[in-house]
Amino acid sequence: MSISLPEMGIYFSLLLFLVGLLGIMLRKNIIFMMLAVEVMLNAANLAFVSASVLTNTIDGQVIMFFVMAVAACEAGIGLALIISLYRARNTLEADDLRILRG
Amino acid sequence: MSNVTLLLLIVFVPFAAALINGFVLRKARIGIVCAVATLAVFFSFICSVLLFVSNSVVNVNVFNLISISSFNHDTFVVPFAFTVDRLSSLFLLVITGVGSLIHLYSGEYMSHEKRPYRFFVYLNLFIFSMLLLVLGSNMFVTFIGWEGVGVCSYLLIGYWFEDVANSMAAIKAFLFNRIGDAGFLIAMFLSYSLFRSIQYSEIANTLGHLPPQFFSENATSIMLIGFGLLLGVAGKSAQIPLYTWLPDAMAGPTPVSALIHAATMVTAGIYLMNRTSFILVQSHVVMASIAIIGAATALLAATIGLAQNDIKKVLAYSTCSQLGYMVLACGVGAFQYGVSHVITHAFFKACLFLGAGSVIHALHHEQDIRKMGGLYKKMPITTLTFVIATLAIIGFPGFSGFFSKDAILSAAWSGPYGHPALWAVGFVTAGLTAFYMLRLTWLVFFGECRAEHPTHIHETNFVITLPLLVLAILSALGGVIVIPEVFTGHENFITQFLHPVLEQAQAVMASVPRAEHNNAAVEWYLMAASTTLVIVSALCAIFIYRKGPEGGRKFANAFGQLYLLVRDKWRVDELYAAVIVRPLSRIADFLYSFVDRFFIEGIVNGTPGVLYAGTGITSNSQTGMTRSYLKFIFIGILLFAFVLFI
Amino acid sequence: MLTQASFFILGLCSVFLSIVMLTRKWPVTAAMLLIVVMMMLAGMYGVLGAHFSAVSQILVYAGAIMVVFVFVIMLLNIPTNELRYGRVTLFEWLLIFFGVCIAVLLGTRVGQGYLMIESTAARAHARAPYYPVSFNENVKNVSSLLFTDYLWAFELVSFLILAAIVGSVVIAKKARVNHVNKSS
Repeated sequence: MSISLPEMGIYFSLLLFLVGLLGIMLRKNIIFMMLAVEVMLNAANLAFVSASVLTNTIDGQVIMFFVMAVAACEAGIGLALIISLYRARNTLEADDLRILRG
Repeated sequence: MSNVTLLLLIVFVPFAAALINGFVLRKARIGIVCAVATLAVFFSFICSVLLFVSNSVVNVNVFNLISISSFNHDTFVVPFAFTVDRLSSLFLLVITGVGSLIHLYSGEYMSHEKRPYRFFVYLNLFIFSMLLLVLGSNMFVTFIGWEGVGVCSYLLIGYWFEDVANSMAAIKAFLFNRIGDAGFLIAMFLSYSLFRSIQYSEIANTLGHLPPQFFSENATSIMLIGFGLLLGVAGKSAQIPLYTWLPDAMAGPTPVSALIHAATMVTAGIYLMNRTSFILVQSHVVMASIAIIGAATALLAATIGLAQNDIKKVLAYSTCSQLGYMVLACGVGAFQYGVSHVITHAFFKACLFLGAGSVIHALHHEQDIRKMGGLYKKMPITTLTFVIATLAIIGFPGFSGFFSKDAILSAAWSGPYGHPALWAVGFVTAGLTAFYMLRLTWLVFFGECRAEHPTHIHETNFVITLPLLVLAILSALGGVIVIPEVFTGHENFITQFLHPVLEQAQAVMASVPRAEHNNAAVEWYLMAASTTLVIVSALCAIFIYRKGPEGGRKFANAFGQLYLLVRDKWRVDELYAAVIVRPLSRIADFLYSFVDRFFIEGIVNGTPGVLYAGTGITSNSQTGMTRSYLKFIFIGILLFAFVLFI
Repeated sequence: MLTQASFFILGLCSVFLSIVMLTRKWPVTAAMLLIVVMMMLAGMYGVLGAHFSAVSQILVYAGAIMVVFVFVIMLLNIPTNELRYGRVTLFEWLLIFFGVCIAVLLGTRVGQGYLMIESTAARAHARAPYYPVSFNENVKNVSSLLFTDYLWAFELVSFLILAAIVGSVVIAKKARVNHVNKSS
């Protein structure tokens, strides 16, 4: 295979992203949805790093650093929300949170 | 003040008074409201006198109601214009004069009403519409006034609308008027299509200059115009077949009956026939129909009036009968005698109705003449005026009715379209009129008092008696306008006065082959015959009823079934109900139950039903679950990808 | 050759393990598997030459974030009878299939051009790219960009983290019932 490394990385990031997306759509438990979001973010990070290696620049890795920081914040707040939701509703099913049903 | 200003004041001051009464003076006492209304109409009366005296023709164009230019190279302009000529000025005097007297009278008669402003607003609006009617210079403005008086009569007849029977009477009046309106409209449209104009002066001009073959070609259309106008007259002036609303209209207050159904609205038909005389005389069939309908109505109404026991109903049928006389006059070609009878009839009929109102008011709304009697001691002024008016209506020599009715009867014998048979019908009717009027007068005012509370009856104050006196004087002396030639040697005032208005029609009628012109001897004979019959019938009535209403019972039983038929108004109302009203209501029922419920409500309820179903389907997508939203987003991305990249 | 094979294996394993992770019943198991996935990703970064990224991935992601995840899962104390496997309906299978097709299509046919060719328009407005002198000094290279060109973003991210800390504390607090205060 004459495919270069970073190119393979891009393909893997695509697959990982897809897996994460399907995970969100198909699992009802909120915790698993958060885990799937983490998978998606990691796929994006992989794409950034592979792109930076492809173009021989460092910008992609710097951006990956920022993405990681933002993912950390988002995970923290998401988990806090899960905690307060569990305390209020006593359920972890996303389908039970449907007050916004139109 | 110029004549134009006078004319505009005449028309718009009553309207302004109606607005003031209606919006500003709602809480005022009846005295103030009545004063405003009466003064407005009296002011119009003064202006009408000024206009009458100046004896000029005045044209005013206020604004253009419809103005369509360059339509098939033809401009169509309908101006809101007034014209005063001799005919209109006569009617103006009658309307505003008698109207102001009745306004004054109603101030006392309606004093026990709550919210009296309503009555006077309607009265002023009625005067305003009637003024529009007689002042219109084209058929359109006349029609506006025509409809206006119909509406105001509906409002006034149904004034005490809390009682459903009154409202039904008002609706009946309005419906019959409406049928007449249809006739008027058809006549208007046809005259536009024939003469390209609906302005009276223009039509008269056109008719004068048309070649004779025009009339022979369009004879049917001209005849249809005449019949349309006749239908309008029948609706408004209560002729056969549209007369049944007039007796029921007595459900309104008595001043209303006096104003509308004695003096003004019902005479709108006569005015119209005079206005369009030059069209009507073009067709022999139309003239004959008018005469026959007038005569028949006069006779029919007189027979019904013989057997009625309500004082206002007797007067109503008497009105209908006298209107028949007026229509008969127009039908035989003596249009000016129709006008003269309008004027004299306004005087004595208003006097009769107001006198009846005074009696009703004094007896606390008792209207059955079998419960009256012997009032001449307690209400002398009312008795005197009522007797004067009765003598006028029956045609006692010397009073106004004698001259005007006699002019009609002699015209019926020998007018341009007259026929002795028509004279005979008028002759018999005169006898019947004398009989029932004397029966009424005797049973109400003379003999023993059969009222329930005889001690509380007294004359009401001068507000009621003043109009009665004025009208009685006019009924006695009003005949000067139509004193026939045989007395004075020259043409009477009314023929001279209205000659400019009617000369075109008279020119056409001069070419009609007719019976021999009346010589003086024939006239004297006719006059003597009718006078004799009248006096004999009057004496018969007094003799039969000298002891009260039981005297009539043997007389009535002699006629047996015929009496019952006459008392039930020849069952015409029942006939209409069975032939026209019941099938119509059945059709309406069918339309409602089938067409309305299924089709129309199906569409109207089905449209939102379909919407509900559709929105139900689409609103199910708003589940509130993030997962399904994500699925939809994903589907969206897939679709984008499909569209963009494949 | 070895690098390529190891990269390939690492990638496959990460994809496979993430699929496995998302079909678990127990959340803690899933969290552990996610940690393993992140380790593998860190390995991939390392193979690619982004050493700083690899280490920070392990330190931050696997060491901090996932730990928080595990703590929270344990804190929630979910009764075991409420844990369920996920059900995949037919509709969802169809979605998966089409999704994968599109993704592969995007990746193999469409994305090629964008990856390889540097668009000239972007170049015109971009600052001159920093081509590092040596690729063995990855930390030096990253920091030389991080604290000069991306300093503004760096400071903002620190604010963001502060806000997230405060926010999560506030959200996760137990709601306190307001007692009526008699004074003031």
